[in-house]
Amino acid sequence: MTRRGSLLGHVLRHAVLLAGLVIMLAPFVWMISTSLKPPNEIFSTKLSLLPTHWAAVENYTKAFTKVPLLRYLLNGVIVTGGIFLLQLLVSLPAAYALAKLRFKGSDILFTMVLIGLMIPAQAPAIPRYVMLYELGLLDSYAALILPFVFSAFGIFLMRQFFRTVPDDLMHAARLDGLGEFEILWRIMLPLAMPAMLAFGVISIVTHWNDFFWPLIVIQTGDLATPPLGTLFFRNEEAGSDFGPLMAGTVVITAPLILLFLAAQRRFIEGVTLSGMKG
Amino acid sequence: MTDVHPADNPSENPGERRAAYALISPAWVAFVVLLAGPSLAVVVLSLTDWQLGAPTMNFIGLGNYEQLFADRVFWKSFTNTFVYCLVVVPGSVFLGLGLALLIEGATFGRAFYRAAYFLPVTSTLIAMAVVWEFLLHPSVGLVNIVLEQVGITGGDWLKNPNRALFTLAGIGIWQSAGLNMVLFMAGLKAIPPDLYEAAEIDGASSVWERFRCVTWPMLGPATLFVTVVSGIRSFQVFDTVEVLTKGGPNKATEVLLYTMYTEAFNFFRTGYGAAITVVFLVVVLALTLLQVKAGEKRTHYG
Amino acid sequence: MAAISFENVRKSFGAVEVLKDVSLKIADGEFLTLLGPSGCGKSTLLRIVAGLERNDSGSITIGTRRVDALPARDRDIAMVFQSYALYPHMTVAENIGLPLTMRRMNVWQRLPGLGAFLPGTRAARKSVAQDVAEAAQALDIGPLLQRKPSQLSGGQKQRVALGRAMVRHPAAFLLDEPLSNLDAKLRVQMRAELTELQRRLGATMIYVTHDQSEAMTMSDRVAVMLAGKLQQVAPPRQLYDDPETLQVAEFVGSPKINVLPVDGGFHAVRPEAMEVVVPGAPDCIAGRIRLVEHLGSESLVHVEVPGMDLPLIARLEAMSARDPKRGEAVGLRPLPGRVLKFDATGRRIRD
Repeated sequence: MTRRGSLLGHVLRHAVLLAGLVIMLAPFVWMISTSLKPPNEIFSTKLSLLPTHWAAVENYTKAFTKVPLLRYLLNGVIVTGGIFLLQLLVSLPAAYALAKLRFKGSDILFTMVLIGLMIPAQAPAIPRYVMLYELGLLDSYAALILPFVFSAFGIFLMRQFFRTVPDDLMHAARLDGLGEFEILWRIMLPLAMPAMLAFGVISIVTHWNDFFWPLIVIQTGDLATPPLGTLFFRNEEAGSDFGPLMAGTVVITAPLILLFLAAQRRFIEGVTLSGMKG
Repeated sequence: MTDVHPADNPSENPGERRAAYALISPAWVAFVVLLAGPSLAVVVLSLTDWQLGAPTMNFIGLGNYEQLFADRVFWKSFTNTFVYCLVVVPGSVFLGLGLALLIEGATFGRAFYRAAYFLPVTSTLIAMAVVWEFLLHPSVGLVNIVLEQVGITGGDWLKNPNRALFTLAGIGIWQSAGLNMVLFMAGLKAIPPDLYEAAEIDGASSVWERFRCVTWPMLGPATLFVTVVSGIRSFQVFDTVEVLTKGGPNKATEVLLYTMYTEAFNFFRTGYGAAITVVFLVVVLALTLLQVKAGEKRTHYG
Repeated sequence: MAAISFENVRKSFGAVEVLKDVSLKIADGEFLTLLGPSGCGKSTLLRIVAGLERNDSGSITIGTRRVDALPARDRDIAMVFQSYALYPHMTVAENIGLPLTMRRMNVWQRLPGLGAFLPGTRAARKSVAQDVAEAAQALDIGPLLQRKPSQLSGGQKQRVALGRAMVRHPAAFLLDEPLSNLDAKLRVQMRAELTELQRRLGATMIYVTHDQSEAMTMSDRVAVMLAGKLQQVAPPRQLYDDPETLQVAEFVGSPKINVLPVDGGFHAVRPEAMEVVVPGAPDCIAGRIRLVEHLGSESLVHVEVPGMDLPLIARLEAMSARDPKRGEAVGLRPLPGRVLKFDATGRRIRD
């Protein structure tokens, strides 16, 4: 889309965009601002961004001590890390085989993957819960990680990527003396880095933000992932202790936002790709 | 490679076949145990009267469904979900499109705007919902304070049964607009610039005409796609309901997934909950099939 | 270096028979080209020799070993692909060295980090580096060793691909249309370099191409392949002057040989064997000039002849006294002894 137009047009454009930005980012700004304020300033009707009396230390300390915030974040890391790692272990070989090797049943498996893409996450929830219940695995890391090990999206994405690797590259590798596994390890994996990163971003964000499943399977506060932890926190803070509450939400949302800012391109790439699942 | 391409034929090399089966077996097992099995189980469960922990399970055919479709609460839930979608989808799609158009046409700051508007999408919805709860607080919330400045009394956003669903829809639009914006931006980038030049030569040079003759038609498939994706996302609304309203006041914000959750995991009426899940699944599958069709159009439209 | 032979090789993909009973013996140190149009099966045959495809029946022998059951890496042959197939994430040095690394170091020595501490690793790495440097030197790509393939031009990538093949000192080289991705000028230059390289190494080379000028200029012998069958295997000159079939005659030589249907069979005459005479001359075919292509060193005269769909082409040398003009009525007469005769099935009739 070519960029031309009058100066007025451009000024208007930016004015609108900036105004919209104010509304879009207001919750974040206000969240941070409130986390720094003492109660009397929070409850005043005067609008101000910065507190006159800084209560940051009190608010954040309260937040960290009321509930195990850091624990929640750690759980987020453990769970999303565990899920992604297992997903890679399961998806990469399958994607490679589907893309590059010829075997009976590859069409069936791929159709299954496509069907898997269409099933929403909440549909299998009840039977999964029942399975975990029967196995005595409810309220554990296993309950949070295991159900998501199969990622239709991951297999689909990696297969699409592997298909773009020219067959000749594999032929050359075979002639050079590499076996199938070494081809995967020495040639395919290094080349697949960008696709894996995009997959990683989607997987980590999806599972970090997942509220439905942890809500169902977790009772113990110590095992809560960030979304569930936030709920616990909010329920603890019943009443109007908004300072520490906002401090808590700042801590909970910070990691993903920082991750996004650091890896914007991968993030957007991953999101666009997942949007293209169809 | 001009000869008959062999990659489409099953390999006669047994080593290759064995390697392939070894490589796909973890995925295959995981698929059956974690996805296929449970998905089929949910349908089967919906045909029973089982409750979690109960010793017996009886096959009752469509009994759950009969009960479901006669339940006033279910219909309220179903309708609420649809109303929610009908607000969020157009809202977030048009907002996303508008933002994409504005940003793509800017001469500087594109990356900044894109990042800033995308921020709500990356944030943990639950946490932001808690923030919104504070923002929407009738007396100390930012929204009402700002409205007060211009002389409007905000009122109660979440406890008012006539408003609550729309308030949640507003939060939904806030959270999704950025995602749609990014998808539209990808679509805009894919429009070949020569089309605009050709339009220019043909006389369509004003902003509106360029949009009407080139941008909008070329974005058609993308718009359809984004709309369906938005629809699927908003149909799955749950988080804000559980955190902010718990379906209230008076079932005003009761949505399908929330109903399923309470039935299956609060009351442990497993069979009944499964039936609700099946209804949910059918709608989402229908929408997803639409998404696939829309996606195909998008890739062929280039 | 080794001789290669295949006997009665057959290959089908599903219902399509791509190779129909192909037999050929290639001598040690010979440059043999498989020439044919797209889809004739030449690439498939090459890949069967390489071990990337399995033949349905028949045998492949490299040197004195029957290699049918051997996987590609044990056949001691190297291949240069049309797309070069260079590993994008490795440097030129690593690309060229990989076949050596795979063969001289075992799995443990190859492990990154840890492998460096094992005995023998250092010596192996050194020997690999030496051989890589040698190959790079021979191909004049020494300064490029630390670059990645994306930073190379087409011609440079070609050389790296060659280097990777050369460095193993294989029994034979297989080349699958290696020059087709290069621009015309570079192609001509590389042709000469490849021929020179082959002669210097004394290497057995099987070269696949659809470009008949490549085949003609580079090869010791050319095997013309059409629809899965070998039509003729002969040195280029012989292919040109003494084709076995009409299809071979038509495929080799540019511009295409003139074909005249005669008595249920065919007579074929090369453009340079056609004389341009006055229309009334004895034993000539009368026609009208439709087009004259002035190529500088020669002119090609296209003559429309009644009863024929395509014009006949005659080649005139620049020094010729004639100055043919479009629309002129002329006669075409084949030089004595230069008419090739074929029967109705296209088989050559020799008198």
